[in-house]
Amino acid sequence: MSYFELQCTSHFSFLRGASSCEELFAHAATIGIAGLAIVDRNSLAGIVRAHEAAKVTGIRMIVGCRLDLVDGMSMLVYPTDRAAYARLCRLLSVGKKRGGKAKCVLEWLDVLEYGEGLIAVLVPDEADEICALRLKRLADGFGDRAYMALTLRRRPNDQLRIHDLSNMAARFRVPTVATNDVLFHEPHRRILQDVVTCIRNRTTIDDVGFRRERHADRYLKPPEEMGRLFPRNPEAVARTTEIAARCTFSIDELAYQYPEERTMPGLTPQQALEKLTWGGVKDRYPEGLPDEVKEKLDHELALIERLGYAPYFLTVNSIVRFARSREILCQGRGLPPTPRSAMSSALPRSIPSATTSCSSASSPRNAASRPTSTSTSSTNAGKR
Amino acid sequence: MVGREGNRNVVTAADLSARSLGIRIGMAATQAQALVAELVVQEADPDGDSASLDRLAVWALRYSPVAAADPPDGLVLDTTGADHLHGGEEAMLADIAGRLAAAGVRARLAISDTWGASYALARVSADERAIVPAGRTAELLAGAPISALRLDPDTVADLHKLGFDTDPRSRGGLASAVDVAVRPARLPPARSGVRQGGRTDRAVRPPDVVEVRRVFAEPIAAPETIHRYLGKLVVLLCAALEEGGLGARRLDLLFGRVDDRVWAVRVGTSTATRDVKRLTRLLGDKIETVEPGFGIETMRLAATLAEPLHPKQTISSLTEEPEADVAGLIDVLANRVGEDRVYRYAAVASDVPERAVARVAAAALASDDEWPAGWPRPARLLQPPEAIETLALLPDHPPVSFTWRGIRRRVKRADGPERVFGEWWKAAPELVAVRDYFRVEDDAGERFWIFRAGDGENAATGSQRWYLHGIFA
Amino acid sequence: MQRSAVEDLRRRVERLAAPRRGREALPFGIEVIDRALPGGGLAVGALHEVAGDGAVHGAAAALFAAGVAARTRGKVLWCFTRADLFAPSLTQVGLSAARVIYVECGDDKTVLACFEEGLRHQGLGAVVAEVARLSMTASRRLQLAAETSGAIGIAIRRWRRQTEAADFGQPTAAVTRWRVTALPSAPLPVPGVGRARWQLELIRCRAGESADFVVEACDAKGRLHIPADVANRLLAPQARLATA
Repeated sequence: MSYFELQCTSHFSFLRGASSCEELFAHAATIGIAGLAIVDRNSLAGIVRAHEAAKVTGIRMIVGCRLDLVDGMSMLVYPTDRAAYARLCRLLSVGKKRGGKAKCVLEWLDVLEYGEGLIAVLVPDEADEICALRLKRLADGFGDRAYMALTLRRRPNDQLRIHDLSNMAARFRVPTVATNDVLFHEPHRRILQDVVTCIRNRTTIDDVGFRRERHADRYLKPPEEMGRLFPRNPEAVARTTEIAARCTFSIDELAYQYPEERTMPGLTPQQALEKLTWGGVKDRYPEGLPDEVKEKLDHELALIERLGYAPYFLTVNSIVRFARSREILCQGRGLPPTPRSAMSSALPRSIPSATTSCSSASSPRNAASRPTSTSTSSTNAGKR
Repeated sequence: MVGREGNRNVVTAADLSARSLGIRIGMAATQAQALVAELVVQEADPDGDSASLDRLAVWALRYSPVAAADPPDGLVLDTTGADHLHGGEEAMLADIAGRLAAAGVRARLAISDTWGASYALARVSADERAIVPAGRTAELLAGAPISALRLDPDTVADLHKLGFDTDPRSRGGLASAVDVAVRPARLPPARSGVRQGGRTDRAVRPPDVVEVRRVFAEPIAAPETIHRYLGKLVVLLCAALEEGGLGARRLDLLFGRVDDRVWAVRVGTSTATRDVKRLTRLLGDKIETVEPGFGIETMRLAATLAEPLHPKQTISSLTEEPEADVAGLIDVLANRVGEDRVYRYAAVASDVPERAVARVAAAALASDDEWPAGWPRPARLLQPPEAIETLALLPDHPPVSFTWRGIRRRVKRADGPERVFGEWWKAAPELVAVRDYFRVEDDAGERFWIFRAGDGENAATGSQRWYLHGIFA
Repeated sequence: MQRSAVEDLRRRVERLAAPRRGREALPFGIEVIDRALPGGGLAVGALHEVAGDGAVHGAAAALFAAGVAARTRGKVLWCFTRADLFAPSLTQVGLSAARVIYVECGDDKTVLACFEEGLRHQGLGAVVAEVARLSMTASRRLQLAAETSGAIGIAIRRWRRQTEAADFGQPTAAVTRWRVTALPSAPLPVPGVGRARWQLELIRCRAGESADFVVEACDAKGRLHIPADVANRLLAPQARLATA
């Protein structure tokens, strides 16, 4: 039997979760869970760590978030693709901007606005009127992407509650999914969880009373156990796999993307940079390129190609060219030392500021600074 | 301790270790010092001792309205009709002993029908706290050595010469002279405690107490008369309290009888009051226990515990029904069954059932804390929970049947488990302790609350035995 | 707003002027039961008796009494010798902890004395006492005491030994006498225990007849209900008559 735990709170839900992502994933791997979804409260803070932990342990990680709305509704959302992830990020930004530091104010309409591509799972309490209302609007707003979570609490009348919730979900044609509302990875962590609850409520353990988490069993359970606990709802347990399959988004898909430079159509940024560089060499060294300088240039261009920084140089080049055309003074700004000294001297005047920004990293005392002064003077000359 | 007797320095008191080395009271001081080289000698201060004994007697007034010092080393209290305010005789003795111990005073206590018996028992009884049930005083005194009885030393010496070490009455057939000497002054059912007897007309009184008294030219005895004068005294006392802006929390009513004996009645209230009707009612309830003897000469009513009391607005609106004042009722009941037997329950934020309730004073203000609604709780809770035999399957399932008090019941329906964790900050074993509660219903429809001590899997979480904790309606 | 204040005052004056409050009754809100009781409910200012189910615990009797007390106004006095009542269960039938004053007595005699004391006191809503024996004389005193104050007095008969159980057969001056026994709860489609049910027997009723009811135990407000399936059976005979 395959089971995904879709509701895990890591300690990035500050003062609520009691286990780190590493611990959660490591433990999940030992008990045979196929994958975890980290759903921190109104936050994606734990995603990166979770992603790394997933790689280390070899089990899947599903990106998710728990949205706690101002009207009391709680839902778990999972982006199915990159675009949906982008929307989720924007949704959270909207909420945090509204709420201020460490707060997030979100309303149902916001969720609807940014909800496309998100799978939404309602976190219910009792099977009452309020739950019915929320379930209805979830079904209306999310269609086949709407689900309802069934979680056992080990409290009186649990079985009846699950039964009623299951019936209600059937009435609104919303499929159910089983979760365990995990707060920590293994049972003994419960004590730490009590302690962080006290900190959150600014009270001592003697006085915290009923503000402690009252529902039991908030630790990771193996698939067989989950199957045994939901004998009348096996489909809810199976649906965890279904949702996991629908969420194909992984943050591997996010690489930093520099905007495209289209200065020279038909050429890649690297090719364009090289063209400009070699062209500038002719101006700079009319009597011929010294060997050691050529060697250095080759080295630096190779480095730039490997690191993919060519677009950056082109950008700076465009900025300087624009500035010069408008007779705006541009100056080098302090940067850490780079091995671009050769480039700085080789590059033609047309892209002096690229060199400026690179070479100003080196101290004015060495030879490489001369181009700086040259470029400055040429700029000044331009001013004149 | 060394003091002067005549023109000699003699040992007046010695501690256990000194006594075990042979030091005796009355021994010459020089002899004692010769016997034990490292003997620590301190000068006796009889006046200081007597003053502190008096102070101790004043302190003892909190237990009874009639208390006296009896030099050199005893206190006597007449606790008739006052022990119920302290939860009974045993509880009261324990309280006295405890407080004295906390102040560094070692005491031996005894309580019985008569002064003499108490005196004797306090000195010679094996228990440090001896309680003699009413009416059994004579038989318990039978084996007591004569020296312990409240007789003058010459009589004791003579009896010793005659060869008697213990009360001759126990052997039957006595000369009437001995009889009279030995039997202590007969007292009607008064329960006297602590050490030596003393004449209670020397009973101490604390200063600054609001008090009114009445002396009768002709001694009174009839209950109606007593009631009438009681009423008048209460009116006077309340007037005096009002002048001082005070309300009474404890009243002592002392009757001085013709035969010099003092009879006392004590009542307490939960809130300070100077309500004439209420106080008259409380005291009146106790008058039946008073024995006038040959007649009562004086009645003294004192508010031995008083607090500032200011009048306050009671009715807020014309249409609102005023909350009935139950303070008066609480006082009447408390004075009948004991202050700690009239109470309310308040919620404690604990999941462990026996810790979820706390007793509070009946007159206490209501708090906001409540038990969580929606989690069914039984009407009756058995303390302690009773062990049951069960036939149970897997950890998460209730038993198939259980046997309680010899009756086997089949479980027809059940809900649970409701997992209650130990409160780990209270005790180390509770770090992992767990109780899984089940609500079970048998064939007949009777519903019970049972639990397993432990989660059924991990031995560290409990004994895994089953118990019945409560009965549902 | 003004009008209702005047109405309240008028009602209060009427109540104060009424010579005997014994005519008032606290209805159960269930037609079949209220119909069987003179006055249409449990007589206020009177003594009633309830016995448990013989399991010496009287759990159902206690909650039945609590449900009645919950629906009165004012504080409630509860006298007993055995302190095994679990207060949270009373809150669950609507009798809040702040309202109940417990009196723990050493013996039945003291319980009855405190019972009487409470019944004489003006302003309590109900007084409940758990006793094994209740003589005719004692019950008469209690009934008179209840009449003076207008509180509802409930004597829960609880016994330890069979000899005491026989005493329950003796007549007393109580206006009504009930017995409450636990019945199997309403069946559920899933594992669990449904709404508790009781066999409620009106064994004796002054100026009325005895009767038998199957009810659902007190809800959160202290009210009893007739279970749906039982209600349908009660209606059925009339339906048949109508169609005939």
